Amino acid sequence: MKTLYILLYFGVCSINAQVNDSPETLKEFNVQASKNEIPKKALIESILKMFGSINAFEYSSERNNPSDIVYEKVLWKELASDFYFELLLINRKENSVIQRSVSFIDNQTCTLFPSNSELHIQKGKTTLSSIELFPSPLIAFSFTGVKGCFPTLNNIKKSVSNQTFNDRIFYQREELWEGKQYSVFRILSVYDYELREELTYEIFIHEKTSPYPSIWKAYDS
Amino acid sequence: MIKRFDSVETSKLVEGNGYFYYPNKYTMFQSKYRGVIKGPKGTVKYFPVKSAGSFSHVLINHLDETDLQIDPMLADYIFDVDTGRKIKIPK
Repeated sequence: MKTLYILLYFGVCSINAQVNDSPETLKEFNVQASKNEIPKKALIESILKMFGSINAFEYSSERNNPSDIVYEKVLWKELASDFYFELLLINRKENSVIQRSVSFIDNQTCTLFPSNSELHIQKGKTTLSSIELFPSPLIAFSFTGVKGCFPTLNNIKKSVSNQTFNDRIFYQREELWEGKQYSVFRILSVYDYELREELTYEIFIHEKTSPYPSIWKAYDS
Repeated sequence: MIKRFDSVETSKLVEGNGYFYYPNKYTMFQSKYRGVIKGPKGTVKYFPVKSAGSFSHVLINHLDETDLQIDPMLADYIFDVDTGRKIKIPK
């Protein structure tokens, strides 16, 4: 019986913790007052200027704590609409091991499994079930995409230059957040790859010379 | 709010005429495992998860098409998933 009480106690504590962490809701502002001040053009031009000069992109992303014995490191390469990534499992006590390498070229997927020395070839760009585990520096610009896919160089360029992106910027306002002044843009119908649904985003841009959002928040409609 | 992304540190990468801002450190608050449970204080829909990550070796405009190819010679066999055929690579 004592054990049951303890379990019940921890169960209630756990539920309470989840209640306290419940997400904040989207605030309503005086849209009519701010609609006349939307500097959409400057935002769109700065994003296009940045991505217009980039035709290839490569990065590595580290997961877990690098001081751990085992952690993952992902190398991602992207050229126009073709992309390729390698997943490496790194063990600090031994040498780095390439767990698998995947490329998507000419509508064909190649997966190399070094463990059994096999190269798998398949027509089409197969969906990576675990792609959401590999965030990219481009994730900050996910608000630009609406096509239901992970943001790539190509679809960011296409979606920002599309008139529908301009229409989806609902309004802009100024907001003080932790002592800094931000321009906040509310953007509608942003497709979230992980949740597979359209969300409303608020992006916070601190430096007006940079199109890079310092913070973004996604709200369920 | 179901997700929040914070750039803890950002870097500006300049290469020729190209430039790119990226988060070399970030935190992400997400609501994973969507669902609804009934708690003593009402309905709870979200399960917050906090994670942190970093990006390194970010390069722009350095690649060409040959950088995006896997060398078949690294393998002993090619397996065609569509036809089920397995071919040994002569070496």
